[in-house]
Amino acid sequence: MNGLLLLIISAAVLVLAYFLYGRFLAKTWGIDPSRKTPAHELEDGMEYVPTSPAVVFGHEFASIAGAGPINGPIIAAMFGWLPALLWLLGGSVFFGAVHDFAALYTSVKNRGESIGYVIERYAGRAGKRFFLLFVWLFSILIAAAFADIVAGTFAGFDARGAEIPTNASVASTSSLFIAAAVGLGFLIRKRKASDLASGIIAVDLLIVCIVLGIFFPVFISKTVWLYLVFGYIFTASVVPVWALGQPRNYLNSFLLIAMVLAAFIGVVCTAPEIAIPAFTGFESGGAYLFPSLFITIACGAISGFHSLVATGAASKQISSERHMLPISYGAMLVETLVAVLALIAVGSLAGNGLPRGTTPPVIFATAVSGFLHQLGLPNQISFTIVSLAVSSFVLTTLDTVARLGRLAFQELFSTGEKTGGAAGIFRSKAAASVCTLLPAYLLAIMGYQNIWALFGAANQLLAALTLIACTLFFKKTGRRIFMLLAPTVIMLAVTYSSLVLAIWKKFRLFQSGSFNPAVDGLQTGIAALLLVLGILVAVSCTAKLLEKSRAVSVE
Amino acid sequence: MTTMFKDFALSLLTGSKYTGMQDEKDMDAILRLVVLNITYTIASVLIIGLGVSDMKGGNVDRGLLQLIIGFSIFLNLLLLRTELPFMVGGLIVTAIFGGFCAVSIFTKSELHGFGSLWIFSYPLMSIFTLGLPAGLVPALLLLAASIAGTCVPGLSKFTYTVPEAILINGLYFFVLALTVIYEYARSIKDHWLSRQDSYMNMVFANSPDIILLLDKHGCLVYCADVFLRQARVNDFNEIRKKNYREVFSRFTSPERLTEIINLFQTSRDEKNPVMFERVMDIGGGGQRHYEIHFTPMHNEADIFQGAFVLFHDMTEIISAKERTEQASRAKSNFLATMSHEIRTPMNAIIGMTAIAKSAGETEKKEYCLDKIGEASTHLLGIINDILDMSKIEENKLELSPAEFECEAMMRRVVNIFEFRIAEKNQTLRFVFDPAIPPRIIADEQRLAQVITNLIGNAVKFTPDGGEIILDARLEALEKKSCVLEVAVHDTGIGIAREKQASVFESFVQEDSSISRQYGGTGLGLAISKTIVEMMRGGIRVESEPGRGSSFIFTVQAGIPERPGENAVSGETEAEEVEELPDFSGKRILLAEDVDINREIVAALLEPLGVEITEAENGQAAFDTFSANPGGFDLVFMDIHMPGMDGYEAARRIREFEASARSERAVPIIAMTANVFREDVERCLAAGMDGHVGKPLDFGAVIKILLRHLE
Repeated sequence: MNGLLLLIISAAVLVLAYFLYGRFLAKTWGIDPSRKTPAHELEDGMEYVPTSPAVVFGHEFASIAGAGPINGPIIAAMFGWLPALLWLLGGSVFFGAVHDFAALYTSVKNRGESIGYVIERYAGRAGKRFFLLFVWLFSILIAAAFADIVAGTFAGFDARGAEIPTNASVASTSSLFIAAAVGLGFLIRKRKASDLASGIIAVDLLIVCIVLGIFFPVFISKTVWLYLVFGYIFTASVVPVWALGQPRNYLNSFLLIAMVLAAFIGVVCTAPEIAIPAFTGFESGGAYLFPSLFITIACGAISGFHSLVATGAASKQISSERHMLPISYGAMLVETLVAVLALIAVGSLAGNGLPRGTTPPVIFATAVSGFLHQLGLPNQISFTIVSLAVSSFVLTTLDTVARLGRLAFQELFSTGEKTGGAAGIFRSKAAASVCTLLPAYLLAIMGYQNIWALFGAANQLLAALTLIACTLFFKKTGRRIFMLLAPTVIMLAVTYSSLVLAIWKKFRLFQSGSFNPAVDGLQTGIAALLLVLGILVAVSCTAKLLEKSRAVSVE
Repeated sequence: MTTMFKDFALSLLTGSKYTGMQDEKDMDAILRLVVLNITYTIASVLIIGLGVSDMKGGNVDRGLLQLIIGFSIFLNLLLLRTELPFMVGGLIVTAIFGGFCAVSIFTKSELHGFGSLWIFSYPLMSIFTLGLPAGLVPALLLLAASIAGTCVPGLSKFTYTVPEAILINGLYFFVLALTVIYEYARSIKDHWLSRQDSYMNMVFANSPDIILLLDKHGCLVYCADVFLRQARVNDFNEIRKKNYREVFSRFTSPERLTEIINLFQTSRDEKNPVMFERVMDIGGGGQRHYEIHFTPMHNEADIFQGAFVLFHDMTEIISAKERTEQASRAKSNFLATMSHEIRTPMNAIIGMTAIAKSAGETEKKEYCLDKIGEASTHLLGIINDILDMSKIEENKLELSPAEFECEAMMRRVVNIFEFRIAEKNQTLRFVFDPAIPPRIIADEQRLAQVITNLIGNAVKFTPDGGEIILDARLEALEKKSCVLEVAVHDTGIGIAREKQASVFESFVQEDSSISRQYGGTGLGLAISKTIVEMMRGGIRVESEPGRGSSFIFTVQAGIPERPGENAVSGETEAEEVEELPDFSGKRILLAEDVDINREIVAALLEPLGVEITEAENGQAAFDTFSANPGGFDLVFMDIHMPGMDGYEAARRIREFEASARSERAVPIIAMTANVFREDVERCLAAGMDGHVGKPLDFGAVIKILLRHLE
């Protein structure tokens, strides 16, 4: 199978999906461009900021495209490229993009509130609490994992103390990005720069930062980077979204799109052969196609994390309902394209034998820089730039997730009317950020890898729960829900079976006596906790969903 | 077709930054933008081509750098089209291009001469992009870099010999100097052009009408200074390029604005100028009435380019028109009143004449003649009033101040009314402040006229048995002048408060029904007011309807230094002629063209025993006189006569006397209906000795005769 053909088919499917299914959804659910969006209605200059669609798209895309779309397909390639591709395309068009769009839609129609509030409104306070707790734990998990990944890609020295120039360049460029983002944010916000002007300046800044980064690498050890990264995401979580988060993601989105374009052009020009088999079997390396494939490929197909970004950031920034479809559905499809490119990348490398012991980002960077090298770019530079892009994917996701975790924590304590006491302190931004990031830091230095295996399941479970909540909202407001039902049921089945399998595995380990209380105990505990929380949310929502109540209109 | 292509090319090269009608500054920017887009695009394509060839030639690093620079220049050209200041985009592009030029100095290229070409073109590009002062800085920086690069050994990979370096830097300097000279010449040309434009600017600066020029989006491009002043906009840039809706919304209500916008829109769509009138307050002092012209402007291709809006202030014209209409209404009223006023006594005269004719007994005839006399006097009064008024209207009323006895004058006036007072059973009290100087200098006749008028009104409007008081007080006294305050109080019908202000206007009576009840022309008070004001005083009324009115006026009068010296002898008229004097034997020449007038004079003078020779015009009078010089004791001379007029005849007589060396000049007395002061003066200038007005006052004639014949 040729990679180019694969890419063309995927691109065609995605474009068609956007114009047919995406438009159909928007029409069915109803878009009212004249209605004031929450960003206008509740504008406060902090969270609720009406923003141009290009910037929101950049923010959304950069945030949702974390390590997921690259890691997932590369790992899932063990089942063969065909099941991975089918799940990527089918999953994103009918599951993931629908999920993203539904979540954003629900949030925008509910004053920009997160899914937690929607659950509270339609399913009661308990459901919301469970959901927020779930989100908070999930955010801690992602923050820990991604902070560690970022610190790893920035680390200037390897285990033996030798300098790693690529990492150092990536680190200094990423740091420069942050400084440039502050200036760009100021330009966009205070000078009211148009999309064209801010876009050009963003690209200029990007070029300058990359060139400076390549010329002036910064060599700092990973431990120190971990401190710095947490310091940075704490700041990003506390300051107004327009000052740092939004422009930085906007800046990065150019890099990401450039990388996607470069990979795209690379694939188109080199037409690499996919060297891995189409299908290897239902079992591979001790994992079963069901539910493993659907858990492993998360971000490229469906990811609960996206709903957090959509409802936590984008829904508070879009300035017209008309922008909802491209920002949610469109961004998801672009991400799927990234995942397909990652699949092609791993497929092309497999012919030369996969480099052993390397991480998926390195595989991706190697493959893409390989394409670019064939086009004439120097290998070192293209590898650095692709590594930079990949680590930017992760870093942008990281600062968004820190913000989301903080918001979830704040919402957890803002149930009642009372403002004093401990609840009042926990509702403050700084305290909520500390409460979210401190556990994340501890988890990162303790070794998040121990529970990372559960990330996929938790992520998909979150997607399922969001879908239930959206279904609830759609049903209560008299909208059609059939397009949400199948994804909901399937995702619930996938995640519960996955979690049950995981617990069952631990139980088998326990039986065989090789159970490690520290690692396996933690995993089992968290798996059980997620399972219970998920069931509680699902049950409370489903109960309401099945209630024979008349549709109430909230609008 | 070509226009469309040009429009397309322009929008491609400039983006949407500059659309609609342009002012000169914009045109400059557009020109720069077009030239910069073309030249820098060519430059960036060349640089990218260079980069690709370098990469193919194995110079991957440098090739990549060139690719990035070429791409950056191309990308940042777009920045020039955005809302960011031109300077920002220009600076970035210039800096990137400068960076490339510097790089091509320090990294040796096989394309030997090509590198220098970039460097030479730099001053041109930077100065054109950033303007003369700002563009010099990067150009000189690059010059310094190129000098350092070529002269400091080892810094550059070029290895020039010193003569080569001098040549290259000299060339660079030459290009730089040329560019600067060109830019300077251009700025002089711009300055000159802007002076050419100054007539256009002066139109906007000095236009009394508000002129606004709008571009095709309805944004303000130019506006007349008067608008800025009225709308209190300090700087045109505050509203420049703002939509007219936004600007208008400052002084119009939203509904009004929508209405105006609709009118403009319709005019624009129909390609027809529109004109309408609106009352609005732009800020320059209350509501003003504007005639608003909206004229859409189209280019040769008939595409809408903008609009010309003119606000013409009609407030003055409209109020003048209203005033004129009011005046003409007042005059028609006046004419109607006059007609009535004149016809009333005329009716009496004609009627009584008819009765007298048919009446047999003398008693009845006498009665009729009395009434005719009364009516005639009244008629004369009316005509005098009208004449005064017409003089006032033409600003011809003049005062002739003279010394006189104030109290005596007032007593005479009071005496005139004695009869009418007694008739209406009223009382008239006269209070005279003893502090008033006994003799003052003023126009006695006019002053008397005012007081007569006021007392006349008081008598007229006060019912039988009422009381009238004439009160003269001294208001202020200085060495050479004093201010008198004269008040006439009555217990009459009074004047409503809202009417009090208008009683002094011409042709206005408090109620037009009054003229029917009481008679009067409505001119008296207007004349009085004018006279009083000419005497540097004022008149006012205090009144309460039903309780009576007080008319109070002040006048300024002079005080003679030595009383009595300049006393005018004309004040003797008051002495009534007790019995007719006898002028038997005296011969009078009467020059008069109208038979009836000759007859009247003859009849009047008959009892005096004079001998009258008649002449029917000036020529005849002169002939009669010259035929018999010394044969006449006095000449009565009419002025208006066919052939030779009275003036000419008088002059001829004087000339004749002078040539004949007669011992004494015959007294010539003008006897004419020309009664104005200037007429009298003209008579005296023609050599006459006195003047009696028509209609003839018998007493006055006798006085003249007494003076000249005795």
